[in-house]
Amino acid sequence: MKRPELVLMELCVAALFIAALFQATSPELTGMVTSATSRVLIIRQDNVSCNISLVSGWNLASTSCEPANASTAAVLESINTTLISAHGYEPSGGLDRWKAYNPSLPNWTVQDLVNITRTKGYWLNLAQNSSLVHNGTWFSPSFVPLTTPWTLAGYPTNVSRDINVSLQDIVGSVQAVYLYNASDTADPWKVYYPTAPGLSDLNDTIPGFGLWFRVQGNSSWMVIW
Amino acid sequence: MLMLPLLAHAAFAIPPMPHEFHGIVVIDRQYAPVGTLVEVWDTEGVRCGSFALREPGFYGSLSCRGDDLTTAVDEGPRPGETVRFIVEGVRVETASMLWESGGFGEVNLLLGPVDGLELIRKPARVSTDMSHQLNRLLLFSMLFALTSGLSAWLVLPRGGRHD
Repeated sequence: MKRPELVLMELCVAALFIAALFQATSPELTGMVTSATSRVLIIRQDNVSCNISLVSGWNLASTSCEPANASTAAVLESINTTLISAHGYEPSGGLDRWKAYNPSLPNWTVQDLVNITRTKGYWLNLAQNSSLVHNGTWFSPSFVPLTTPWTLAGYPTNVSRDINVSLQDIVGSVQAVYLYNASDTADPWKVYYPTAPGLSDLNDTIPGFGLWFRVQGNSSWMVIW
Repeated sequence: MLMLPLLAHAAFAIPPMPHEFHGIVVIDRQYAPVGTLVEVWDTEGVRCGSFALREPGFYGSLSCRGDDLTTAVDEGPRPGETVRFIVEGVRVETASMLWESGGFGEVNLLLGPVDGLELIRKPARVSTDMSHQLNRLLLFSMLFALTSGLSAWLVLPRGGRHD
């Protein structure tokens, strides 16, 4: 039978070892208490360069990492010569839910798509195929707010997943999910109906694509990197 | 032409992007003041968007939302529907402007006397540098006013008594 102080010391050493190991693999850790029951959520994050392939015409896109400079002009700088317009959707925007940015408009116009974030999707209209590149930070997990009835959501990860796995925590509130793949010119729209899998042709959530969610009741979608 | 295939799957209609408008607003040959209200309406009498001027003479970007085809309510124009412009409650004649989801349009709004303003009325939509256009517009207006005044001075009887 070990003495209690020895057991405690061994536990402390083990905890320090685990903490050091985790620190070695993920140098930046932040945490927050998510409920009154003192549940602690560890969010991993690291700085990366994000890259999204876009095609000529309309793209329903999202970026997997949070831009270092979130201003729309800064995030879209790498495609500024081919960008015709960018559009975001704010469910809480009342009668003016759409926000737009068009680099060719006169400088006196008020452009109300001010920022780009990883939790939202955007329509991007391009004159030619391009690659959107920006510096930012990836987080895991990320929480994507879903607002009834429609949300244009981002997919903040670089991992494709089976949509049933991706949405397993929120499937009860999801009525439909739409993805627009402009490269599939014959059938660019893919849809997922949780209650009608036979009618669904959206099988995976894919990095770089935005998603239209039709939901009943507000919820939060947890996305793992 | 920018066309967005928004409604490929019809179980739910994805919210259509609005048509964005911008341009100059001139009332009685003056820049419209800050706060002037510009509205866009569809042909069925639905207001699809508005913008209160934040600097004299310029409006936009004004978002004109479209109709959600899955609801009974008419929220705004449908693709191809003509839209109308109202400035401070007064309809402004413009070139025909058709609503398009995701489209952008430059529409100049001229209210009051328009003699001498043909430069930007034909067409109402202009696509070149706006400040250059506006300077030409104002110069043309001043020349027109001077010409009119000179004509009146030459034609009308001048002072002096005629017994």
